[in-house]
Amino acid sequence: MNQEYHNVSDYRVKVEGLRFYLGDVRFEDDGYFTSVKDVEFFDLQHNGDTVLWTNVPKGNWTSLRMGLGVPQALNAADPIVYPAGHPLNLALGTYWTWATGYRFVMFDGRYEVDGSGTGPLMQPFSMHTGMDLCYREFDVPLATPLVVTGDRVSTVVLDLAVDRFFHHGGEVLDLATESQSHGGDPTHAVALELTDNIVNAFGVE
Amino acid sequence: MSSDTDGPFHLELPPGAPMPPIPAAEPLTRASVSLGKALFFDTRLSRDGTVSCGSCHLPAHAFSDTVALSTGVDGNSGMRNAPTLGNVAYHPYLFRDGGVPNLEMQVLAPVLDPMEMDHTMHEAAQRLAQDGSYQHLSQLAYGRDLDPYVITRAIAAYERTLISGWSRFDRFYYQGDIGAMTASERHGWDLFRSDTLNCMACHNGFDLSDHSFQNIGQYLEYTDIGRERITLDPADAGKFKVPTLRNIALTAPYMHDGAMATLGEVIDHFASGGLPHANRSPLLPNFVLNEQEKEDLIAFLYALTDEHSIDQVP
Repeated sequence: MNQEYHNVSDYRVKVEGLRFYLGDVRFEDDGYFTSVKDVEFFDLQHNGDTVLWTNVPKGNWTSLRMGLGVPQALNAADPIVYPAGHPLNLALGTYWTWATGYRFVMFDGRYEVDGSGTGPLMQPFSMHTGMDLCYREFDVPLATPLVVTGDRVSTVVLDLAVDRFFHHGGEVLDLATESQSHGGDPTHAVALELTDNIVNAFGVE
Repeated sequence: MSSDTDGPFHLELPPGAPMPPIPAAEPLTRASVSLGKALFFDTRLSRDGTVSCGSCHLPAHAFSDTVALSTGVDGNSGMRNAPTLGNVAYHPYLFRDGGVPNLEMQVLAPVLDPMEMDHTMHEAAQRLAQDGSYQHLSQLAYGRDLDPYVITRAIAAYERTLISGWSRFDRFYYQGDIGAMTASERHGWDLFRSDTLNCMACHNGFDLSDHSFQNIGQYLEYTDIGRERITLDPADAGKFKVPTLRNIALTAPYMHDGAMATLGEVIDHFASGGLPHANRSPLLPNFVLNEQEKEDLIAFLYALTDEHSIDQVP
């Protein structure tokens, strides 16, 4: 975060903000799922974020299933009821009042298309996804099963490869032409492309 | 001993007015609507303390604004023309694109919008909670200290009391008082309800709106895409919620962007049938009015003005 690097287009890019929701988080073992959290908010301003779940049953869990975004029922609910500290509390500034729903991903920063330049990055990019159309369920297989015994803390480290936010399957999200998304675009083209890219950027360490 | 903040609030309904839907969880009480009215006109809801709900929804103009786009904090302009709040209790959804499902959630929008009040609910509530009279009313109405939840509920409660239906047209139509409207106004009413003009295809019912979404061919390309912003359906491009015509003489300028200054312009637009946008409503006929007919139609629209304030909260 806040460090310049070259993305897939060889643009100089600096990510200044990355916040997102994960919804309906479940662990899976051989087709059996256990729900651990309806929605969780992550702010990677310090290059990482940590959550603690104390309700994961004992077992050997082999996969995580979750949605990128806020599940539909929660997304449509009145946000005023969520207390301070709740992932959906208004104080987080993630709510789109006009659409009565949350931003799912807030990805902000600066860039310059000249990869050989050395000056400050001046061009802003700000891509915020949201609305039910952008909710995307996905699985993250765990390289080694998460063993939950009930007598100690077990850890899963999710890795999010931000460089992959700009490409997937041979398609490139070109900041020169796709740098803004704030809802209201009926094609949702940038938001949907970013959503697909992010889902494919998740892995486990 | 009772006071003017004890007990339920008895909503006064004009003859012909149905009872608006009041959520069971949000009964109108004298305390809730009094608190809501005070909050509605309190500029401390905005970041810099300069803008209240009432800054753009002016009581003298049926709770609408007199400019195309209202001014928020720091001189920012809003996105759309501020509509009248008369009979907003009957609306099945809020905003001209219908993106908000109820009044409680609608309250959040102007407070949080950077172009309007540019505040947070938490900070606004903290500031307002310093006011002892608010705490008293909040406890009476909701049994809790003033907080963001109370603010949204109270303002919504007050807005539900803004019932419009006290016009000369209402006396004429709902009470059979033929003399309540002039001959010119009655002729305008006849034109209004004629198949030729077809106004009542959308402007019908007690609120003179079916609250449907229509593209009236105002533009060939809409900068503001209206309903499409919510549904993401290109077939909804340029569609906006049909507005009430009550107090229409008080609520200029007109259209979602306030682009038309007078009722004459509006009538001329509809007479033309509008521009041939792909989503233009099939309910819009072309029609021709002579000058007298146009005057009569405008006279009828003026007869839709309430004869007294629609604010019934002391």
